[in-house]
Formats: sequence, C-alpha cells, structure tokens
Amino acid sequence: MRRWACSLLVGLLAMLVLPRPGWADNGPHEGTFTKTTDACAQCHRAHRGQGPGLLAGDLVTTQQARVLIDTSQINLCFSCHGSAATGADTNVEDGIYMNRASGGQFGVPGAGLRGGGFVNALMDPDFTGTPTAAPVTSKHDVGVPGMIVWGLGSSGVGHVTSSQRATLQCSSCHNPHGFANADRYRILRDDLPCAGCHDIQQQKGRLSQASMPTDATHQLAARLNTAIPDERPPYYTIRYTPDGYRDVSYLDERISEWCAGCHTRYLATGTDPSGDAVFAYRHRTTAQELTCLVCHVAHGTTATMGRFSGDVEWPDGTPGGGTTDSRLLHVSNRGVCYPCHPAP
Amino acid sequence: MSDKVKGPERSAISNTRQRKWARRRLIALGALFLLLVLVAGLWAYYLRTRKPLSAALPPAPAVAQAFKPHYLFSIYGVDRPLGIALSPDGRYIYVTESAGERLIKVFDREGQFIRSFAVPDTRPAERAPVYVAVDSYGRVYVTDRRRFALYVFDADGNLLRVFSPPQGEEFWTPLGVNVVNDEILVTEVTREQHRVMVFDLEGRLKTVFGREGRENGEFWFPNAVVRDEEGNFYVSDGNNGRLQVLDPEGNFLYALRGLNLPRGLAIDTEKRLFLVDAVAHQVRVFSLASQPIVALYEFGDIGMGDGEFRYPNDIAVDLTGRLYITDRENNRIQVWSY
Repeated sequence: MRRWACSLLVGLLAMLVLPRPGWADNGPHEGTFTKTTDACAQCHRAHRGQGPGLLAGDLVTTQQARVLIDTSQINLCFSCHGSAATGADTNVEDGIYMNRASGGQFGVPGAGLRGGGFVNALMDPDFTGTPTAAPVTSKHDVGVPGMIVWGLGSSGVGHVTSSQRATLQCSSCHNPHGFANADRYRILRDDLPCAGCHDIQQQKGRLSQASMPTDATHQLAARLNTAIPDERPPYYTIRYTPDGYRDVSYLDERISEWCAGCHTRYLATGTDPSGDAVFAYRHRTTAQELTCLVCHVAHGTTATMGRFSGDVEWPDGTPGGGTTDSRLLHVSNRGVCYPCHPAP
Repeated sequence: MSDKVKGPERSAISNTRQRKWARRRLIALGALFLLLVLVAGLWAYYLRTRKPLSAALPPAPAVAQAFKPHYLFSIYGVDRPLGIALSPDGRYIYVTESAGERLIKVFDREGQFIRSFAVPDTRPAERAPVYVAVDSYGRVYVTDRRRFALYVFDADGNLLRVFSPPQGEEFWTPLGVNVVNDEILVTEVTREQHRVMVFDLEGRLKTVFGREGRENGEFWFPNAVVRDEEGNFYVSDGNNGRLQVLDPEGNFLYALRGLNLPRGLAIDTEKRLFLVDAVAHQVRVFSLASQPIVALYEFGDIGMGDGEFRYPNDIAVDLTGRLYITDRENNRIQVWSY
C-alpha cells in the first residue's frame, strides 16, 4: 500500500515539475515548436511577406511607430476566430463560445465569451436574466491606425500627445505562437510592458535591462508582472453570480498590471493624489476585487449609457459620446459602482 | 457444235472444278486457321502484357487539365462571403455572408442579384451561416455555426426543415456541407469529435468517421468534404494544413500536407479537384485522373485587383467550366472560366 502511495506521489510530482508540452490555451497556435516544425509556413513567408511581421496575408506595409505589425492582421485572425468560427471555437467577432462543454471545462455551448466581442456580444448588461446578442457599443479598436492609448506613459507627462497613439493588433495582447512550457491566461503576452510600445521583432537583441532608460515609464514597465497564469481548468464563458453580476473570482490580481502595460497611468495602489494633472485621483486597481476586468471587458460590450454616464468627458476633454459611449464597461450606466458602493 | 460435250469430257471438267473447289476450301480453312492462331496469339499477348488504358495512353482529361482558368468578372454586393453553391442547372449562385446582415444571397450566373433569405426570426447577431450546398431537387442546405444547426430551404428560401443531431446525440456542430450523388456530406466539429458524416436526403445517417486530432484519419476543423466517382472522400483538414484522402469506407489512404489553411473543395467534370487555400490566397488544382492525385497548378495571388484574392474561402464549379470563388475580405465573388 505504501509503495503504491509513494508511486502515486512521485507521479504527481513529476507531472507538476517536469516540463510538458501543451497547446496554447488549447488553441491551434503552436506551443511546441520543434526543429522540424511545419507550422511557420502556415502564416508566414520568409521572402514574400506582405507585412512587417512577414505574415502571409497582410496587405498594408506601412509600419507605424509603436506598431507590432500592420493593420490587416485581424483578417488573418478572423479566418478562424470570425463570426463563422471556421477554425476555432472562440468566435471573438460575436463574443460567443461556439462549442459544447467538455467535462465542464470549456463553457456552455453558445454562451458569451468573457471578453465580449468586437462586432456583437452576448451579455446581460441590464440584468434581464437572459444574455442577449447585440451589436457592441464600445470596443478595443483593432487594426485602426492612430488610436489614443488612454493613460499611456508615466504620471505627470501631461495630456495625450501623438506619441500616445498606437495601432492595436490582436498580437499586441495575445501571443499567437503560444507558450511551450507555460500556461498563460488566454495566451496573453507576458512581454506586454515592452510590446505595448515597441516592435518586439525589430528590437530583439537590442533591448536589455542594462540599456533600459531610467525614466519613470520604463522603470514602472520593468516592475510590472504580466505573466498571467491560466486558470485550471480553463473556462471561456461568462458565469453569473446569483445577483446577476459576472463571476470574477477567477481573476488574477496581476491582470491590472497587465493592462497597465499600455494604460500605465491608471494603475493605482491607493487613492492618494498621483501628482498627475490629468489622472490626479484614481480608483485603486491593484487588489483582486478591484482589477480592471471587474468593471471592464477586454474586447467589446453591449452596455448602454444614461444621461450622466454618457456625457462624461474623455481624459483629453473630448465630450462624451452619449448612450453608446460605454467605454468597455460590462454593466449599463455606472452599474459597476453599485456592488461595492450600494445606496445607503 | 461445241455446245454438246460428250460424257467423258463432261466428267473431266467436273472433276477439275471439284479439285479447284477443294483447293480453295483448303486455302480458306488454312487462312481461317492462321487467323485463329493470330487472334489467339494476340489474345495471349494481350493477356500477358495488358495494361490499363490510362497507363498506356495519356488520360483524356489531361489535355483539358493542362490549361489554367482565366478571370472573367466579379460579383459585388456581398459582405465577407464564405460559402458558395450552384443550383442544379447552374443558373443560380447561393452565397453565405459572414458580416453585415449575414444573409444567404442568390445571384444569377451573370451576377444579377435575385433574392436573399435567412433563418426565420433571427437577427444578424444571432446567426452565422457558413457553408451552403444544393441538392438535385434544388433544396438549399446551410450550416449555421452560431445556431449549431443545418437548415434546409427550398429554392426560394423558405425553411423546409432543420437537420437534427444524429440519434442518441443531443448536440452537434455542423460546419461544412456538400451534396454529392444525393448524399449529404457534413463536417462536424463538436469538441473532441471533429468528423465527417454522410446522410441520405431524408436525413438518415449512413456513415461517420474521424475524430479530433492530428494523426492520419483525424481532423482539426475539417471545412469541406467531397467525393470522386470512385467514392473516395477528400477532406480539407483546415487547422492541420492538409488534404486527407480516404477510401469509400472512410479509411485513411494518404494526405497532401504543407497547405496553409485549406477550406472549400469542388470537383469538375474534367476530374479536377479545386482546393481553396485561404491564407495562401490561392486556389490549388489537382488531377484526379490517377491516384495518388497530382498537383496541377494554382492560380490567384494576394491583392485587390482582378483575379487577386484576400482570404478566399469556398468554390463552386458548373458544367461549363465556370468557377465561382468567395473572396472574403474583398467582399466579392470572383468568376473564372476555362
């Protein structure tokens, strides 16, 4: 009996300790490249690439500062993750998981993805009890050149400037190649503090801790921990608590540091004045119950705004956009405040 | 005077004639015998050295197969089209959209819009038509990934029925659909059981094979399946980047690897297999005149000009040699011809 128990223990330890091959978040992205891998040629052309990342399908070759690769990358991703999900179960265009649960791991068939969607999303921002598919009211604009990155840079740099604009790509946040020996939540990049601003492919071999500038932005970036481990077992779809809110208990506290790879000035450990003219007082974002994703979704939301919330101006003073200016909040109006700040 | 031949002379003449006839019969019999020997010899030679005609002579389709098609025109007015199929007489083109209103649109072969339809009582965000096929009666089969369903419409777009999951299964995820010889070929991508299913026109399951994986005979998001005259299956094994060939029972025969993202398939009357490679932005053409099949050529390249593709997805071919290809990111259907 003891021998059996020891064998079992050794086996379990070996499973935990030994490096094991694994697909990135169970996706088609190779996590186990080998010396004879065939996978590169599926998306890349060594001598005939149409984009800076040598992607096979990119047309626009204009590489902008701070941009990883060009503006049509999303077309490649939508070849599998689009509304028809012809090569994946995660339809990020509609924010829907397109398959059945498997052992309770992967989510309810046809349920909404946690991140919402880029065109439509299946959510329940008004607590109707029934998630409804509808066009999104706000989203992270992927592939659109020159989008403002709110909060990019260190505190005190003043208002938004041209250097705080970027073209967001799918691979700005996700590592399409997966991770060979590590599970990362949604294959999120763990080099985001650098990749958020720099073309990693171009800078490879030239970036090092020793050569890193000593300004506050780079020092903060160096401190951020953006290696977000995957949850086990993985679960893709929104789960709701009995009171109708999203269950966010799965969230890792470090997800706020991950978001701060771009939205640096929003990262706040307390409510003391930051000394920043624009973001002077900030909601705390560094506790598990206060991560960015407690209030926001990553891709797009169907929430709608009311008279006050729709008119809130943007950090650069631009007037709010009205009912559709939902700013990736997952509850309509300012309902995200209510769970922690209920009416007296 | 000479009309009257006497008895002995007459007898001599008769004998001479008989000898001549006998000699002629002998010669004829000898010739027949020689002919028989010759035929027997040739037959024996044929039996010893016989070869299939296709091996002895170039196959008839090879002449036609050598030519590449040329671009004709494009049909616009579709929003990120994915699947495409033709009516039995080739007069109408059915196309599925993956953006905008997400309709099934019908055009005539000159590109004139005829009508559109969708799954009844659904909004665009609630549907995702993917692939389309038409049977010999003109009924239109549409897979809807969002609704986990295979719908059957009449030619005018009226919903006739919804295919149910196979008996004993509560859930399925049909993706690709084709109708070949009154059989409905479906690729199904429920997690862990990516497979090919064959139904009769009444919806009875006849054959099923495959499962999710990377090994031979396994699939990873198979997008299309077609059959040749011998009944072999050709499956575009999307995420595995290969075309798998299986015998009529669904047993793995061989695979053509190194494809980028194989999607739509079609076979024409000249024994050509057309494979749409979405990420290569090309249509790859193979000859089915022999096994294993042989790559002939590919056509198309990335771009927005005439004859250029941006993420093509599916193909249909008519009896006149016209090819209809959905050009997803260019929001059009390209028409090519031989």
